[in-house]
Amino acid sequence: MPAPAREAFLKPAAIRLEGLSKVYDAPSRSAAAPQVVAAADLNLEVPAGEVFGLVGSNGAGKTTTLKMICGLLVPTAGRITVHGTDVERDPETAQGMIGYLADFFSLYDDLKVWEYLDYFAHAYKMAPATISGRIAYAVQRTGLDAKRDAFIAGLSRGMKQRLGIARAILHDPPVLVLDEPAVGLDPKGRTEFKDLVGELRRLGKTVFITSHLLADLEEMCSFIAVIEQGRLLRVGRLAEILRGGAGLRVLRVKLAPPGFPLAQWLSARRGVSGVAADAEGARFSLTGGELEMAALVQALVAAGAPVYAVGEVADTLETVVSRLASGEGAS
Amino acid sequence: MTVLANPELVRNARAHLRGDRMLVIGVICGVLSLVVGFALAHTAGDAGQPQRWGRELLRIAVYAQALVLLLVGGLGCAHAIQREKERNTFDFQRVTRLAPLELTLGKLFGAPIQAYFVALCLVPAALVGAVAGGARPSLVLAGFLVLILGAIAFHAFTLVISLLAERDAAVSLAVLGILILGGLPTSGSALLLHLGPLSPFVAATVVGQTSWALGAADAPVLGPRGPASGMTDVFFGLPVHHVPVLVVVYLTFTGWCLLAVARNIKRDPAVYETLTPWQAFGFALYVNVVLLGFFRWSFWSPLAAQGVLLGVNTALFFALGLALVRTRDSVRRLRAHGFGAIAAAWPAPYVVAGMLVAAVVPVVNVHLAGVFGAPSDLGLAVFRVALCTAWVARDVLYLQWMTLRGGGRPLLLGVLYLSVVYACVGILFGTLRLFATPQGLALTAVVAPGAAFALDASSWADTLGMWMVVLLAQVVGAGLLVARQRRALEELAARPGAGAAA
Repeated sequence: MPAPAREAFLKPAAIRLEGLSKVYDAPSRSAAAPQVVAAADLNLEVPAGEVFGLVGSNGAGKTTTLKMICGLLVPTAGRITVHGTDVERDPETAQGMIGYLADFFSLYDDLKVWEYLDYFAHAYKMAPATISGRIAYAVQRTGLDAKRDAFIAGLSRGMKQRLGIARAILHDPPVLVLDEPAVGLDPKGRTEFKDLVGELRRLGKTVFITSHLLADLEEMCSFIAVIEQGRLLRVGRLAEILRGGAGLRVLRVKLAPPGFPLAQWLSARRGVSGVAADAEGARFSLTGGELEMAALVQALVAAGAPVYAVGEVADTLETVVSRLASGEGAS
Repeated sequence: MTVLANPELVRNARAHLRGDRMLVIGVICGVLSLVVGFALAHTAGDAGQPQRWGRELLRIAVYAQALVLLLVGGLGCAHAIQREKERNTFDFQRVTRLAPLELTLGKLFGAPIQAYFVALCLVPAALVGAVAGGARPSLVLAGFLVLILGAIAFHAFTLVISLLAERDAAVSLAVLGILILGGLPTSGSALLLHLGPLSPFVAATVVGQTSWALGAADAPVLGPRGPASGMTDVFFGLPVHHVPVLVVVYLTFTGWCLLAVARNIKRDPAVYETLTPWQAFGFALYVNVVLLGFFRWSFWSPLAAQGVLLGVNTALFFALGLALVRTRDSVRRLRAHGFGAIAAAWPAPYVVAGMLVAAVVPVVNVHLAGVFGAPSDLGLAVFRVALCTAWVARDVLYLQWMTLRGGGRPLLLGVLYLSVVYACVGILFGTLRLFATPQGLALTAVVAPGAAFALDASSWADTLGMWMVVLLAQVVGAGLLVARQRRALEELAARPGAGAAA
């Protein structure tokens, strides 16, 4: 079994997946795909105190992975630990450390907002003296103050989503597992949610999050993992993922007037890859840091190239994920 | 954490016992109690029987309490898990720190809380009836004990249904079916299943008794027995009052149901295992001890007695075999740890071992009857055990193979196919009068070995060879299914996956 991908993760792992596999029968089984592989030998460490985004297209295995972390689904093979506690062997201890929000859920419509939170506070076995304070905090942080005594049946979709988030943070868990938490939130709600995630990170919480709102993830996450068909395609710090990999920079050079054989020159240079020429110049990847970048520009000018602009190009997460999902650049 | 502070119980109380709703229920119960009490008192006064209306009011109130607790409370429990799964609220309960038993107890007492409140509102009517009717206080208390414990046992059983069922309507139908077929003492079908004496409706009879004195035990437990037969049971030869018997049966049955629910309630439904093989074996032993304890050998011939006990065990081990059937997800997980030696025969070895152990007592009884002068049918008794064991093994192997084949609801389909086959065989062979001759009976038994229960000693002697072929056919059938299951296991282990996940 390969070792979990550590990358440059120096912090201890809050969540650790070791050889995690999950296979189940397709809901409508066909001869072509009778079984679904939701996780294929996943090895992953989520560093403590970080906001870790799990992204991939629909059906990539994100929700299944999250549910396995919470002990809601049993893996076909492999092991999951949350702060060192084996989820399968000691689910109650592990679950006590997790605040979970599902992507699609219902609430108890016949309860009031505070009753709902009070129920979960007791179900998480919080100290009775702390419960009212934590409910007040959760209600305030999710903007539900005015709805504290309202019946859940009367809440809007967005308000219900806020209540779900309030439930997840209620027992002050060290790890939050959030599946599409921003769905149904209005722009103000999304901003407040991002603020909340930032606050949780400052408080040292680990947030493991999936979302199709990749721009939001880009703002919130420090680490990203990309999965497709249950396989881990890329994992690392957000900046590295956006650059295409650790120690890799995507650069763009513009020449005036064109005519210099830029693509040919770049392709022959060490450390350069993925050269894409266009009418104005070229875009390429360079392995190395600022020194290598300066040396390349110097050499280019010395070779007689009429360089008028050099810049580092950062991809958006959306572009990177799309590229990886289509099989381009997977590692 | 006390039961009263159980969060799941508190949640149900908050949701179902709001002030306005409680007021409406209280008013309705009060008005009904007053109207019924007045009508009874008026009628009894005309007939010159001043105490009778009180007893009648007590009996009606207890009967109504039982009906509400079983019907409304039963439906509440039956939906307690299944509906939460359907509404996607169950996962949030599963990820809390509530221990499985805490969650189970919270649902057991929380889901039917409205029914308990209705029953509570009917208590004043029952008490007025008890006082006016001069009922014996200890028997009134005993009646309420039977009522409450019986309702809890029924609720625990419906929780098991709720855990295993997939559809809302199926759960409701199952609860109503059980009540109608086995619970209501006034329905003919309750007498058919002989469960009337075990029903909580017996509480209405208990409160109407005038004495704790033990009477003549004149009817078998496994046979028609109405309230008129008195409150005396015989347990391994000792006369005992029916109330303590019910209390013990209810408590132990509740324990088994809670075990099944608590060990699964927080698990992934794809790998539910109702009971472990050893727990299933323990449950079978428990049922057999209760059965043998109250069995009246004197009411039956030795072979008929064996037939009754073997029939019960055949049904019991078929049900336990069904509970042990492994899902495809369970098998995939087992594959990671390596299949065991009996994987291809699962769960037949446990069913066979259990059936053989359970068959010992009735077979020995048949043998002893022979020693003491009755006609000895030991050979037939042993053969019937062997045939029924092979039959149950064959059918549970078929269901296990169906489950491994996969598809939509394979276990349900398997049970459905079996039911259809047995129904068709019964109708066709009955029409062809095959059951009327010993040879025809043997021919029928190849497909439906239950025909052996109609076999008598002389027919058995005449068609011995044919019956041996019948037994061999069952064993061969079971062997073929083991081979099929081995192949299904290999396919499951080798099949690559594809497709989209959630």
